[in-house]
Amino acid sequence: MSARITCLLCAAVAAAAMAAPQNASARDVVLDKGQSIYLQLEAFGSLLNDAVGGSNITASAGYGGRAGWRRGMIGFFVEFSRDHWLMTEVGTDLTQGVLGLGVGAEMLFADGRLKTGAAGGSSTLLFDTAFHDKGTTGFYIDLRPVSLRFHPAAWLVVELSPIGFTLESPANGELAIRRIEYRTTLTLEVPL
Amino acid sequence: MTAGDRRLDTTRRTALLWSASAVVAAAIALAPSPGNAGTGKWFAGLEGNFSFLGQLVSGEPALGSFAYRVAGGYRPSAFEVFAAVEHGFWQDDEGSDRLRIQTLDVGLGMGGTFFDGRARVEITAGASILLTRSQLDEPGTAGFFIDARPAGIRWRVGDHLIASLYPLTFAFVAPVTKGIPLVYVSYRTAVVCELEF
Repeated sequence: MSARITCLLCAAVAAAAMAAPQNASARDVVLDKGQSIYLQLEAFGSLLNDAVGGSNITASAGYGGRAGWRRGMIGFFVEFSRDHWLMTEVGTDLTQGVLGLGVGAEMLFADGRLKTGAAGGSSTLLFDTAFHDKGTTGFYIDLRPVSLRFHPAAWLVVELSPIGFTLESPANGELAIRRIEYRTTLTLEVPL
Repeated sequence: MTAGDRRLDTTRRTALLWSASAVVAAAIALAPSPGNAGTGKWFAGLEGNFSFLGQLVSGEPALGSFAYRVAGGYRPSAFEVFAAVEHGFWQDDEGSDRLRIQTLDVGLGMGGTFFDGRARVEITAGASILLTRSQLDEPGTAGFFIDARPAGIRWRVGDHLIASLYPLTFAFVAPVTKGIPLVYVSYRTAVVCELEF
């Protein structure tokens, strides 16, 4: 099941990369601006987060937004994200998960068609667990080593990050909650 | 280990993650692109891959897995087909950190380069053969594997040489599928040196 989904993801990436409308002039408009402000809205999901060496197959899905400033190929942004955790220890429950608030940096390359980025900030638990209360706050790190950027129009960039690495640690100390997610993220960016 | 030690460990691991990100970003920024060359050619690649992110976070001292791979194929256009042989080392099923279990993975794959050859996607599947004795299984037991790489970055470093980095790939290796299965699921980072001719 999981392997099939990953294969489908690969096929989707290949198909999108080869068939998606690459409006070169639209890309040039975005890149030639020198510096720009942009807004992003994103949706993400992940499967098999704990499958590596674990017995629980945890999944998650969420959404987020970014506002950023880019000069040339380098950009900086602030972001929020809501990540809902699917718990599978007993039954299958979609929890409120965590709220992430953070800052990050990114860099475009390959003529603005590829991007690498990293972000980090606070991660706040939004539900009560056995050992931690709602509101407990820790940190998160989000790495997106390769994102593919498509420029269908001058006012829109569609971005696909096939696999990224996210560490969420809303509770630290003796009874820490640490969750690793390998996320697939689809982002819509509007340059302002 | 005290709470202070744990905090220090977390700080070190976080610093390591950010440093690794910075190194990848610098490499991407400084390296030349492969351009459009490379279609209608044969190619052969040598690769090393390993999983470490999960282990880094959980504080395990060892890698989650390590493998090296040889692949060869033909690239008539942006699309390509190839055959691959991989020797993989996996964590002991008895729970130790040693990469004692070995598999030989032989398969066929297809891939595609895009964005002027600067990015690549590929998928490989085939037979996975257990090379070492595990708690329950004999060497020679065969199952299957699937290796999916949704996005890799490529740099041309010579007339016939291309370096590739796959920051995160997904491997599902199941050398034993009957009885109590032996299955390894791994998110790996791969570095490839590819020769075109």
